[in-house]
Amino acid sequence: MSSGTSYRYQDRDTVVHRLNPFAKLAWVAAVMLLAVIFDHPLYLIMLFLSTLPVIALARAWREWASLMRFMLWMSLAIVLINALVIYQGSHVLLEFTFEIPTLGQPKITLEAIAFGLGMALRLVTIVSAFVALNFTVHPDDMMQAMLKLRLPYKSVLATSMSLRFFPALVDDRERISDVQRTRGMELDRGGLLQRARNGGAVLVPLLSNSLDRAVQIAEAMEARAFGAYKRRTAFSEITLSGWDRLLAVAGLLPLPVGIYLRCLGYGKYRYYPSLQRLDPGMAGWLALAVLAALLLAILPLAWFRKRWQLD
Amino acid sequence: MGRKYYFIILIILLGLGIYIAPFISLKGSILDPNTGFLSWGLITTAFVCLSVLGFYLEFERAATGAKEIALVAMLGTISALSRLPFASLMNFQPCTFFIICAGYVFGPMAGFMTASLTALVSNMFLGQGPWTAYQIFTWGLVGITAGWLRGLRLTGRREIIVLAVFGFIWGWLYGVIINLWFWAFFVQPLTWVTYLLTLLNAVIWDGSHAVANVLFVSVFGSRVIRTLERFQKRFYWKNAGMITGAAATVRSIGSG
Amino acid sequence: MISIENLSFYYADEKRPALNGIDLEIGDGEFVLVTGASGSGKSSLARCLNGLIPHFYGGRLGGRVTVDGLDVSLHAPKEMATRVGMVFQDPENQLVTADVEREIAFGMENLALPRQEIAKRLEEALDTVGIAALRKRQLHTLSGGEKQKVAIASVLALKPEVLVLDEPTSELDPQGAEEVLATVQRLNDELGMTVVLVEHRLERVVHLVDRLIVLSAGRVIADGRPGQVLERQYDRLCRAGVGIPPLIRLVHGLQERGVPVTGAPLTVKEGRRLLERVYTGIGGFPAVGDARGGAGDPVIETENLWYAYKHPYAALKGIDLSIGRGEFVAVMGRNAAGKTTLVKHFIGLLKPSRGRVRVNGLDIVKTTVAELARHVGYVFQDPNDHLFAETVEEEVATTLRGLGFSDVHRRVGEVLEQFDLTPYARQYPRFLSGGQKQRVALATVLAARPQVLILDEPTRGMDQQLKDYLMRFLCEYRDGGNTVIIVTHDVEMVAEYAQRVILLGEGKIVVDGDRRQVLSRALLFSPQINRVFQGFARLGVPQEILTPEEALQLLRH
Repeated sequence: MSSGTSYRYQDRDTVVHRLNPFAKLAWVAAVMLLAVIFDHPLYLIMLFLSTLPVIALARAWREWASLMRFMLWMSLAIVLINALVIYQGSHVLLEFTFEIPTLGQPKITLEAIAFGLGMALRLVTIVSAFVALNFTVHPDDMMQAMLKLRLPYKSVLATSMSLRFFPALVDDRERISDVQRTRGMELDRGGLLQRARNGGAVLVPLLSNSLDRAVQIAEAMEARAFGAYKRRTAFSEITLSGWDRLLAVAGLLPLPVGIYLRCLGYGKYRYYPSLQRLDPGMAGWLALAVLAALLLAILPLAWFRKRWQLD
Repeated sequence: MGRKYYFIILIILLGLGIYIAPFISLKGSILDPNTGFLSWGLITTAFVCLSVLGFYLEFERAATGAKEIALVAMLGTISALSRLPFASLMNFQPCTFFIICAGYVFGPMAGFMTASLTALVSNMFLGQGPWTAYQIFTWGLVGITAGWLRGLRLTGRREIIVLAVFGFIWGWLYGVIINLWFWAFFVQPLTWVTYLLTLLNAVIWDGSHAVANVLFVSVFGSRVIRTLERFQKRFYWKNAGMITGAAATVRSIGSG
Repeated sequence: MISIENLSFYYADEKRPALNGIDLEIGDGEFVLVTGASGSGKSSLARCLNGLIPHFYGGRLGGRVTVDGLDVSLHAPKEMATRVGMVFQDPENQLVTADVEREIAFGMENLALPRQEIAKRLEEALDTVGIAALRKRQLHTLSGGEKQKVAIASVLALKPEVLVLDEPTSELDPQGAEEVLATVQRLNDELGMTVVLVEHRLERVVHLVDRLIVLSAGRVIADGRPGQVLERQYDRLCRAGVGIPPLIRLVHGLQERGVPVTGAPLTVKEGRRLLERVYTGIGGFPAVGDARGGAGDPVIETENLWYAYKHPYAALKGIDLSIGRGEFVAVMGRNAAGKTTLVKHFIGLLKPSRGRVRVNGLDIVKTTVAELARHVGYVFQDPNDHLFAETVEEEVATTLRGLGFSDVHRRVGEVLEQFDLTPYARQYPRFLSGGQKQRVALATVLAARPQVLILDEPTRGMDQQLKDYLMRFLCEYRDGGNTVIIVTHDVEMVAEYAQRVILLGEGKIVVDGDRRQVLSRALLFSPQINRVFQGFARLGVPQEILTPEEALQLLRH
């Protein structure tokens, strides 16, 4: 039951970990949005593949693999939903004899399955890209990045305080569970209702303790002039070097380029009524290559930056 | 008070408008959800992100000091913490219940922030993704609407029954909203049928969510609410004041 | 300068005043100790100095408090922050950011100081408190004492003229407490900062301060130089429930017996100087012995007990011990020595990684916590952790039902009577006073009539009255043939009440024996009186003396 009380974040010293959070945020946003605006399978495959070197360099394979196993189920659901309701394809694999009102006679077509697979690829690409954030940016750094992005201060503060007190509340919960066990409560036994009741015996004291905590924290904040001025200084804000800015720009660059290419008609794909030819043609391959190069450019840049700083 | 509600109602109306767009025929127009790369999915996501940002700005304005921030930080932490052991249980979790209680006792903005922290903080452990924004938005609406229930001045058994029904409805409604991102990004065409099928795909999740809400509200809803209310009375005191008059008066109050 | 005129304060909804007609002047550079029993109003007084009362707490305020000419009732804490720095009791709950530098910068950011100024003051604050080495550390990796120093640095950065500390050491172990107090003393000595320290453990701090103010029921009952106050107002302080340092108690005892000693020694050094004459030339001291009988049948036995929270870091390394019926055992040791880890095995909350633990002959691996709880009661450090029910009655009944007792109603009645809780039976436990909560916690545990009672740091944060009450109770309970095991840092309490001391270090038993054997001639773990008498070895004074009472008995023959 005590699973999941450690962050997704893995404390490792890799090129990807050292990259500043903005570069990673920008890059992940770019990959995610590109995965949404392109529907050509080759483009989606390229996007997916471009996440892999990042994960490899972050040495997050194991975490990635376990996430992907879960995504397999989601992908299956995507393929099924699409296959079951879209009858526009021309290559019928299976036709049912009955009829559903408003939908007509159900049939499963090759095109619908292909479309489902394409969309599943879109999902795993997005999830895979987020691995780069989840496993390599420490939550505190994430909060600092949010502050730097000028997100509303009080909300960011509340979130970082929540992260700060999370471990303390975990300890609280363990302790209170111990107390309740010494009073004869068996927390992981019994039916659903019994467990819910027992959970309440831990939740209620935990809640009361935390509310007392809130008073003390608030008191300490006011005693240190919290709210004295409308605009406070942001001293502990992260500072960005020229390299960091360059990397953030490099991370986001694929997005405008991709949008431009999409406006030109690249990366579009027709699934229905019959699958379009996969080969995008000379220009299409070139566009694909340019985009892939831009997406991966962040890695050598990050490496250069690391070398630069060592010298 | 007033401005806050206008803002939230505006967001809900706008959201509803966007929500029903795929279901009315807009074929060929710029709003056709199924064509063009300005897909409906991106529009909803942008809308969700912007309204969440709007809610944060509201909190920025409404939270006057350290008390509110510390309070929601603690409520959010407990809620996030209580999500983790349930992460593998098909959305059978106490967070929604907790968000309802927080909003119900401390008002819409506290409910929203509790919801926001629940999603953000628990996802630091479970994984962030595009779903985070949708979770903040949906749970946020749970918290905000729970805050409105305060106006009904419920007591005793009625209070618990109303909250249980409220939780039951939100269990399903949560699915109706949260599944949008999945539907919009990975299913085509966007029609009633594909939408219903997406919901059907998640019916166990949403059903167990609704059941969990009813169960948690009925088993310890009143305990949690009373605990929060006791605290609220102490934290947000009303009868502050000065003892006026001469020293002698004070002393007489003291000894008497 | 702080000036308090006829200050009275009522918390919201309270009919009794927390502060009642207080008049005080505190000059610049003074080091003032404010003490008193729980509920005497000392923490409320501290909160009046920076405006938390009334701006944060509400309630009704009468009279005037001005700090540096500013009336606190007109200026909120956020304005007072640059005049009065406030450090609170719990190191955990006053730090809001993730690391040391950000924490110290937090207050200055709130003041909207320019970045360069913040950077400069940050360095100063780190150096002044002596924590420059910790600057990059994450707060959750710091010890309690270190956290408290960060808290001090973070208020010093706001350049206050007055530093107010509300029981800053009550959550710390002795080393942490000493470090924090040394820091505070240096601030006063070297920077001339005015310090108002609220503390109920006098022996820790009284020698550091210029002035001692004693509160009782919201009034000042004594005010003056610490030595003078302790000497001249001894009885009054006792009645107010102030814990008097053992050395002062000894001197007072001597005076009562007509021994001509004058003065109030505040340190071991002063004590030796004053008492040497008294104990010189008397000769022929009686041997000190304990009349208490030996242990009965073993109730708790461990055999080669090993435990690791995380392999391969063992917290307990091969513990062998046997505790008998009727024993009063203190488990002592530094932080992280494995004290709590050890006693948690006695009720099955932890199961050995290797080795065996038997309670009343039951192997704890094969027995549930619920079953063991009928034999062993476990009182956790914070009574709040025990409280979750809506009424006191229900709180006790829950335990009994959980442990499978049938005559719940009768037992509840009995145990509430035993702890004088009957009038509170239907009240909400968490809103009771500290002492009442402690009694409720004890009642929930003792309702099951266990033969062994384990208490984890029971006296931390307790005032003298409550401590006396608890100890009287524990002795009675022990005399009924039961066993008491306490985990504690409180040397004076152990010297007075325990019979056997188990000293742990690094997960092993360092010494296990009679308290005299363990506590005398030790450095860190010796009570004050013993440390005084260590200097009298050449006079032939027995070195096993631990308490003032024993020291007095030496003169009786």
